[in-house]
Amino acid sequence: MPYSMLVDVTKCIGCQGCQVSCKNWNDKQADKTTLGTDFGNPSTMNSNTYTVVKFDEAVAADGNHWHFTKAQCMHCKTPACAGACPSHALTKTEAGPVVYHRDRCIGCRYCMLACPFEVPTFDWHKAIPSINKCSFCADRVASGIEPACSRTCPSGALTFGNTEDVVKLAEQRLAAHPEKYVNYIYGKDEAGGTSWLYISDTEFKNLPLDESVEKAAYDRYGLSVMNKVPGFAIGAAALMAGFFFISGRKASAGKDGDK
Amino acid sequence: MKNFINQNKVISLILLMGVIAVLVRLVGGLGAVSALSDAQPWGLTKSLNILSGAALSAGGSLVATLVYVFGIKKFKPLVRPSLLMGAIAHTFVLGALLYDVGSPLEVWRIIFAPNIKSIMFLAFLCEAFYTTAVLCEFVPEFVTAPQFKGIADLMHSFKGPVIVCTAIFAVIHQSTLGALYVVSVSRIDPLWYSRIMPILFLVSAWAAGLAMLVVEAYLSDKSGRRKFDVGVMGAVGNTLAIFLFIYVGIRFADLAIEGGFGGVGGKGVASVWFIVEMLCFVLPAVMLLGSKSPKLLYIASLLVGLGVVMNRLGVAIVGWHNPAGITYFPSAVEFFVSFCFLLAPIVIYSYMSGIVIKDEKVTA
Repeated sequence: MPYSMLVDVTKCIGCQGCQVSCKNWNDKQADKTTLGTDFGNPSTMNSNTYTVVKFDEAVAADGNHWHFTKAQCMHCKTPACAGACPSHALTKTEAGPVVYHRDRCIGCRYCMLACPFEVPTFDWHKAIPSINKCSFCADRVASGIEPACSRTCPSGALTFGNTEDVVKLAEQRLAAHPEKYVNYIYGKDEAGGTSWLYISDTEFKNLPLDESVEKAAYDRYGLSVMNKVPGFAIGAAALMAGFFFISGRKASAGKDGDK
Repeated sequence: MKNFINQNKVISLILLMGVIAVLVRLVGGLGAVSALSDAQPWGLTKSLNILSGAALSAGGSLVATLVYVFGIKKFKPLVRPSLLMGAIAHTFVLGALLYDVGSPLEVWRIIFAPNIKSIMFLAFLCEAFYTTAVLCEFVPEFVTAPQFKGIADLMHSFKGPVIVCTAIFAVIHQSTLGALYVVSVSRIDPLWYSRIMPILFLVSAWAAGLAMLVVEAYLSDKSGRRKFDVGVMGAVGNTLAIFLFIYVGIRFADLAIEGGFGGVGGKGVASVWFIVEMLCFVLPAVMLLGSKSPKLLYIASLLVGLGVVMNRLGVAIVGWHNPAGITYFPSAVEFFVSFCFLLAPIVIYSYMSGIVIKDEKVTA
C-alpha cells in the first residue's frame, strides 16, 4: 500500500519544527545560517538539510500575505533519479519512498542532473561523499510510524496516510472551501505524479513549486535514448563488419594481383 | 624520465602541481578543488576534459575505421600518429572521468547492481570498453620490442575484430556523451538543448578528431619531426568539410524545428557564445571548400577544435540554467587541473611520437 503526504500550505505557520525533527531523526547537525532576504534558514536544501520551509510574500488586493512552503524530495511515482542512476543507488520502494543506498553509489551526480525538482544534494567537502535527500523516513514508515516531520507538525499542515486517503482528503478540502483554495493539487500529475501533494490558497506561481515541471514522468527522456541503443549498436556492428569484410576482400584481391 | 625533467623543468613542475591537486581532491573532496555546487553538479572537468577531450581524441579510432573498415587507403600514413594520440588522450579522458566521479575508489561498485537502462551506465561502459579497445588497437601497431613479441603477435591476430569493435564502441561512446544531457530537459538553454544531442555530439566529435590530426601534423612539421603531407591532409580537410556541413545542417534544422533560435540576440553571454561557436563551425567549412594550403588547413582545424570545445562548454556551463541565480564560474584550481589534464597527454604524445613515429616508415 503506497503512502503519500499532503502539504496544506494554508495551514503552515512556518515554525520549521519539521526541519528540526528531520535533523533529529537523520542525525544531522545544525547549519550555520545568516539572515537573508528570503528568510530561509537555510535558503535551500543541502547535504546536511533534507527539508526546508520556504518563505514567500504574495501581493494581493487586501494586502500582502506570507506563505510557508515545505520543500523536500517529492518522491515521484516514476523517479527520474532512479532511472538515471547507473548502479541502482536510488530506488523506488513499493511503500512510496524513493530511497538511497550508499553502498551502491559511486558519486557520479547524474541523479542531480535528472531530477526535475533539483532535489538531490552532494557532499562537496567529503573524501567519500554521499547523495543526500529526504527518504520519506522509509525506516519509520516500514515499522508503522509516520515520518518525523508530519509527527512534529503542530498546525496540521502535514497529513500522512495511504495515497487514496490523502488524495481524497485534499479533494474534500478543495470542495469544502472553494472560496479559499486554488482548485489544483500540485503533485498529482507533476512529473508523472508524486507521493507529496500540495494544496494552497494562493496561485502556485507565488510558491516555490515549479509550475513548468511537465506532467509526464521524466524517465522517458533517458529511456527514449536507451531504447534505441540495441538497434543502433546492431546496425552499426552489421555496417562495420560488412564494410570490413568487403575492404578486406578488396585488399587481398589487390595483393594477389601484385603477385 | 630524468632527461625529460631536466629538459622541461617548467612543464614538469606544472604537472607535479597537478598531481598534488589530484591528491587534494582525493582527500578533501571535489569541493576542495572546484566551484561546483548543488546547483551546478557538473562543471569544467566534465565539459572540457571529458566531453571535449573525448571529441578531440576521436581521431584515433576514426582513422583506423576509415582505413581498415571502409578501405580508404589514402589515410594509411595517419594510422600510427592518430592511434597514438587517441590512445594517450583517451586514457586521460578516462582519468578525468574517474577524477570527476565522487568516489573514484568505489567505481567498481557499479558492477554489482548495474542499471542497464541508465545512460550514465552506458557512458561508463563505453568509456571503459572504448579506451581498452583503442589500447588493443594501439599495442600491435607500436609494441615491437622482442620480449613482448608474443603478446603483440597474439593481439595482432585479433586485429580485425578489435578494429570493428573499436569502431562500434566509438560511435556509441561519442553519442552517449551527448545523450547524458538529454535528461536535463528545461535546465539547458534551448540554444544547446536538443533531443538529438547524441547525433550532434557524434558528428562534431568526428570533425574535432580529424581537425586535431591536421593540427598535430602541422605542428610536427613545424618542429621538424615529420613532413606535412599536403595530399593526405587535403583529403582529411575534404572529409572534415563534409562532417562540418552535415553538422551545421542538422544543428540548424533542429534549432529551427524546436524554436531554439529564439535565444539568439538575447542578452547575456549565451547568445554571443552561441554565435561565436556557430562561426567556428561555418567559417572552417567555407574555408575548406577552396584550395588548401597547410596554413589554411591548420587555422580551419583550430577553429573546429575551438567550436567543439565551445559547444561542450555551452551545453554544460554557459547554457546551464541556475534557478537560484547562482552563476557557476570555475575556480582557479579547477582551471589548473583541467589544463593539466590537457597538457599531460600532449606532453606524453610529443615525447612518445619522437620515439615511435620517427618518419614515414609505415608498417604495411
